[in-house]
Amino acid sequence: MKKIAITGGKGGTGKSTIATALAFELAKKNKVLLIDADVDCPNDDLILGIKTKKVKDVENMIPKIDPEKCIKCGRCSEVCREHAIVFVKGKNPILISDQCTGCKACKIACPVGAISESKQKIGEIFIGKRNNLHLISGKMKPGVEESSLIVNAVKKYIKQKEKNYDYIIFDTAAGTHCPVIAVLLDVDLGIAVTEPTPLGNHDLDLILKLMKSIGIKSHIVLNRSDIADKAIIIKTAKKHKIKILAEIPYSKQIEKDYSAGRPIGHPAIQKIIGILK
Amino acid sequence: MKTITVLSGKGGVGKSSLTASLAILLAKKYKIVAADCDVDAPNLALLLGIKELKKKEEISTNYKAVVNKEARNCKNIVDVCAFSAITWDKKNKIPKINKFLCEGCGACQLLCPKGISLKKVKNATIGEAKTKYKFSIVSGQLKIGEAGSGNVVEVVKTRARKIAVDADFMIVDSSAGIGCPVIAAVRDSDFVIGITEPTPSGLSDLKRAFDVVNHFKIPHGIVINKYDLNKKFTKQIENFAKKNKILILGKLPYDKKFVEAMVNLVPVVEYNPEYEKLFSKIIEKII
Amino acid sequence: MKIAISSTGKTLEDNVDVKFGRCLYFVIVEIENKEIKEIKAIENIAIEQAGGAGITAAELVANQKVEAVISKNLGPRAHDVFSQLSIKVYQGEGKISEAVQQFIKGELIELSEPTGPQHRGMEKL
Repeated sequence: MKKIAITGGKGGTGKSTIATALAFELAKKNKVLLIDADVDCPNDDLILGIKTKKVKDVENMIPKIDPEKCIKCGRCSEVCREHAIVFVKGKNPILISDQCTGCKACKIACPVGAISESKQKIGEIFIGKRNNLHLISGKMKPGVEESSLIVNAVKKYIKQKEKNYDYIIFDTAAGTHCPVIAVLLDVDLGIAVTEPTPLGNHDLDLILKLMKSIGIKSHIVLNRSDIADKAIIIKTAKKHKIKILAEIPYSKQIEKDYSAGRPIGHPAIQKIIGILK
Repeated sequence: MKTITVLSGKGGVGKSSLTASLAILLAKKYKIVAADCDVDAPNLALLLGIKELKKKEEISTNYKAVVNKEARNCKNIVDVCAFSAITWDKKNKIPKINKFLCEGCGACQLLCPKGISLKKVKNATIGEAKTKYKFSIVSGQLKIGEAGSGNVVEVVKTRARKIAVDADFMIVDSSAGIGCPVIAAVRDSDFVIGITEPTPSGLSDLKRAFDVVNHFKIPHGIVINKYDLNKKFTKQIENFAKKNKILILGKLPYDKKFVEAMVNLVPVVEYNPEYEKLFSKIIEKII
Repeated sequence: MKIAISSTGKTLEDNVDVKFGRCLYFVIVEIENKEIKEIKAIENIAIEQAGGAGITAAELVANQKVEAVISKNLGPRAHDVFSQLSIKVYQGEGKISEAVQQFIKGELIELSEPTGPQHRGMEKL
């Protein structure tokens, strides 16, 4: 079983387009699980035309302060680094649940054991399938700050099921922050999807540095390869000693397919599959 | 000072390009400052022709837990970490903390005060520059692998407010998504411009982004980029806007010149002055 | 009773600061028999805080033992703090001395919900 992350740093380079196409193609002969780990804005179900259903709520722990046991010392508020507990002298501490990431520091710090665990919903997990291609999407509740909590919940959810698949493909969010890192920490290979523009190149450099820092093997796929001079990408690839695995020129057909909920087809996808074997 | 923030939900629909051109036009009439709050991968300064930021400083908004040898007695902390950052190093018989997963919450330090300390981490760099368009930009960049993007966004905005106390407007570029860096960018804004493209993903993501904006009750409008690539879907976006009483601020056509402008790192209104009219119309609807 | 007003300065002659979480000062006014008995100003320590400014500012104000707060706009977090502590929030603007008089006369609108920046609808900036 191989785990692959499709990432890129810059938004809109074609991560989801390629992740869905790759998953779709691989699923013709293998058991494939596609994880939509862009939990802020999951879209793979739209691109693949898959109807998904919710299987689980994602919850995180929030503290419940027992007003009878509480001695109003304010220690819980002191240790909370998220500013989730407000303490006014002489009153019971109050919780701003939106801020709480469930670290339990308050529960540990309370000298009289007045804090127990309660829960709040921060997201949902959806599943769907299209023949041999299984899709699992994590979806964060708007207003929740910490996307990586939902990504981690999805990872936990698939833990027991992983061995049933030949390939697990993670479609990550844009960027290089926590929810992307949460995926990259757990994969065998990362594919950075980029475009031949200065902005694409700038972000490619960042994502390659991140993958190197985490210690995973990476490749580059150059999407919309003909919209500008690809020399800058070649330079960056050389600098990082990483191959440009495949190039996909811009095509109106690809745009149309993407818009219409059809996974794209392109020889480059076969090239990517080639290195996976 | 009023703040205008540009967001999209979906990445790659033209946030930074739009922000750059709007800033340039606004600066012709008003005193403004720009803040690039896409701290993962900031692009705005590049688009405004800035090669290097000045007054760069490393900032520290987050902590990480660090183990010392006293932690040998604290096997119990392995299970306490809500972020699964702690494992037990069987060989050295000591807890091991994964720096990528550690959120610096301090829970382990409370359980093992002698063995764990919380160290401030330099997690980002911020700098500023004067653009050739007579306004300054403040930009922040998260260091590779570090956390705390929301906090870094706040620092960028605070610095922007500070260096341009007398500015009429602050214009903010945000990151893709709807998580903490976007929430921090949107918070305290006076107006939000939601930019999208006529695709199912574009609209779906914009709706989620607006859920966040509505949480803060900030007035907002929509710009549809590449609207003529799918006129049917553009109509769907317009229907959504009408149903929810959201103003359509403008529709930008798909134009190869936009890509050329971006590739050459020239703001669109400069690359093709015909677009000044289009972008001015967007501004007129807000101000 | 004591009330707090988000302020651009330290005196009654200054203006209500439109933003609560990152205002410069809070002016604390003690009212007795419908008259201003005492005033003091405190610095808003949350102003440069990286995250959670609204909450820290609300906590700072609440610890002044106020029964009411006057500001122009209050975001969801600060509003949640005051709501849970049963501290009433009122919308005021302009000179602080005038806002306080309006409060005493019961002329200010109570904000039962957090406000956005344009409380009165889709005005242009």
